[in-house]
Amino acid sequence: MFHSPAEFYSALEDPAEGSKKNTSTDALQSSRQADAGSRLGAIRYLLGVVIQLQDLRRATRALENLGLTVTHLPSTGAFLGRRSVTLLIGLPDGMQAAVIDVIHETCHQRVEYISTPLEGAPMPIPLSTPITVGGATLFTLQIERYEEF
Amino acid sequence: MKMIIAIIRDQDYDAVSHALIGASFRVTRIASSGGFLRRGSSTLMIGVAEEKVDEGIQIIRDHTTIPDDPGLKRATLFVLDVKDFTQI
Repeated sequence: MFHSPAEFYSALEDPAEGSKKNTSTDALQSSRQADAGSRLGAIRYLLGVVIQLQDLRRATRALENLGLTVTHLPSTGAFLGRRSVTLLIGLPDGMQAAVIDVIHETCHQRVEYISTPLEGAPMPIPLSTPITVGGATLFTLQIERYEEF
Repeated sequence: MKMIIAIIRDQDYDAVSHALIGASFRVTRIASSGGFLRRGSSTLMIGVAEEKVDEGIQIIRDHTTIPDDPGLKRATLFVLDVKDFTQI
């Protein structure tokens, strides 16, 4: 988990690529993605996807490979009030299935253990309880109008 | 009632929000990141009456600066229909 905006943004970076990353390759990548984006049809839907922080890097990369532009909003929520990330994606017609596939591949449900106090014990004895976290939640909203300039 | 979701660059936020508030729009800002260089961006949620959507978009258009990098957009806007709007 992260405790400051800086940590959040550094979680977006791939540690393996950290050293060799520089602005010129970023700019190159951006123009390539811009080309991919312009090949897609008109944006018809706004997709809100809530995912776990652990899955963010893989999910973002996979979505950008589809030529989509992704905006991240840090968020919290669900049962444990954990940190999550909400992605906003403008979606052209006919790409819903591809995006759902990508999210399905990159955002796994996983079992984690949390410690809960054992009830009835004279002292607070922690007991590990398995919980299922993760997966993704998708909202698709119809857009009346889309503009970019 | 409509909702405009506008993703703009951080450096344009002050100008855009002042202009929108000056024109009596209500603006909620969410700090976000993303786009090609994963820079800081601001996501604005603006609830507007249907007839003021054009005016709002024009204000955003007028108060965003043109980025140095031609690959970058000034703003991305989604206009959504709002079924019900209540202020308490």
